[in-house]
Amino acid sequence: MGEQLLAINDLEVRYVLRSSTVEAVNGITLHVDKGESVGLVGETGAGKTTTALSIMGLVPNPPGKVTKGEILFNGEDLLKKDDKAMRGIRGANISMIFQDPMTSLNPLMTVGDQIKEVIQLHNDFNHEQALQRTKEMLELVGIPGDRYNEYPHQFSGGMKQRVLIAIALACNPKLLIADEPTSALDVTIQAQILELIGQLQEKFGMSLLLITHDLGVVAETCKRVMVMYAGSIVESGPVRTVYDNMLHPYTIGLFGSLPNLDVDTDRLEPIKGMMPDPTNLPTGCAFCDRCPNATDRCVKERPVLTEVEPGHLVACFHVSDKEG
Amino acid sequence: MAKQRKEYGKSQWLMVWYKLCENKFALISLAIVVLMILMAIFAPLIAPYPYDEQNYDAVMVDPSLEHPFGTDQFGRDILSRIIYGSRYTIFIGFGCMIASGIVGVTLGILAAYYPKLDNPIMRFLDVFGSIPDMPLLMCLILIMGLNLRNLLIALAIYYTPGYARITRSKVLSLRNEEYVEASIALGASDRHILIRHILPNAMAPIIVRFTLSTGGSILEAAALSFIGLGIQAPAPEWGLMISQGKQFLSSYWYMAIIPGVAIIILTYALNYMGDGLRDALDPRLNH
Repeated sequence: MGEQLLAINDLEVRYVLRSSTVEAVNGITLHVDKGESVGLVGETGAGKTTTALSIMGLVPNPPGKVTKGEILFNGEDLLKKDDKAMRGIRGANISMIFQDPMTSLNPLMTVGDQIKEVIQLHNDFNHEQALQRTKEMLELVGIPGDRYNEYPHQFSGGMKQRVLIAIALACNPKLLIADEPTSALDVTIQAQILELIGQLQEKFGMSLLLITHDLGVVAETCKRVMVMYAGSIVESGPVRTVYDNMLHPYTIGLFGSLPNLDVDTDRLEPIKGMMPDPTNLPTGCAFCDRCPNATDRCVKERPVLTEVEPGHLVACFHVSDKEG
Repeated sequence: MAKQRKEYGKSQWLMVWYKLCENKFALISLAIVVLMILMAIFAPLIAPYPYDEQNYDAVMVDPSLEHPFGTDQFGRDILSRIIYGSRYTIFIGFGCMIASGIVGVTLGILAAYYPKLDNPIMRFLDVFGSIPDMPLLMCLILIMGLNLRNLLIALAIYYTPGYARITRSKVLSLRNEEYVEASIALGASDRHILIRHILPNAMAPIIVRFTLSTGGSILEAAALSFIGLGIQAPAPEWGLMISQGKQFLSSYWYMAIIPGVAIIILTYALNYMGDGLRDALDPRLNH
């Protein structure tokens, strides 16, 4: 195991509304090593984006609040840093790619200016150096440098996502958080963008936290995967191990609901039921309402992540009891 | 076109200029506004007579070569008074636009971007917005005293809430745009985001408001002069000239109509110029 770049310990995020409290993230613990790529998978509302935003210190407050835990980046707790220190870290050390490339660029600024902006925010470059660097970044993501002066509306969706990647990487961040970077793109462009992210990650030796609901994307890009459900991590481990030997019923359900090319079926098998109301989570296992193997213990007690084989952790009584 | 754009791309302002040139109405309007401004600056050089020179040999003469727009009841040349009057009109129009624009836009941005300031600022401005325009202006002027500076201040106060409200509503929607969020995530400061991302994107409605309120403030000033609370005689303000001319409307119509036409031309030109400017500043309309 390499050196830990990012370590989140027992993070808890709450959105306090007038009449209720949304328990968005419930004591998750995860780490990303230097140069490693980790996938964070889960359905809509599982708390993936909230986790990412709390790393950046961008949980909207109010109503959001980090109530517990610590986020260690290079050994320093990000939650204790003030606004100014965080501004220095955002973009320079931790960068983020957002979901929708169509709206993530300022329509009134040329793409070149938008890349240059970040470079000048975090470096003492003069105009010429910044321009040089901007053109390098554009070439790096596969856009001719002389399109510097064009506006976002002159680019296609995939090209805009490339520009966003260039912006995110312009200051050589150590950690890149990609929040569903390919959700808004069509499948052929998805593959290109993922490949590009993978290449650049290797080239710069940065770490990647890829947030997605697409298990295929994770398999393609990441070495390790974490499955999130209702604000908790239910299963984590190396991609190969988890995909070959999935143990948590939710993970099994997720894979079950994917189309399989080898088997000829008319209907896919969805996970029955709905995600529990995040303002009113059950005391026991959050998945117990939908779980085919739920017992009384699942309703009363919340399972914790337990290592069942090297590097493979699962939060389920049935699995840990059987293995242990 | 693509190649051309790349060449011009070096200066975004040059691009704006080229686009403005494609819009004939806007260009003509711009020319009229510029001419009016030049006329105001060089009034003493252009005007054939001093604006207050009374010539009792030529009282209320009809337009002629000697007096192209005729003379008024004191024998003053109306053309010269129109030329000198543009000084007041343009000073009031642009002064009010700049003062209320800067104050209003700043307040609007602060109210929208910092939720804690929203209620204090907007409710305070609502007080001014809730009084009809003429009573408000009359009260302000009577409280502060009758002179040009106070007229300008009163008009600026009257136009500020409109700017603040329009800016606030635009910024509120822009604040949730993903590129603003992305910019925060890249480590930009509030000030940087407000100036580089939010203000330029909020500019379109503000520019329209600029031109509308410039025309509006000229009309308001004329109206105030008309009822005697604006510029005082013998100054050649256009509204005042209409007011003085109205008693001779049946026999010497040009005394009131000519300054009226001058006001209309300037107001129209400002509005068309604003429209064209807004379109030219939006790179998405780049065709």
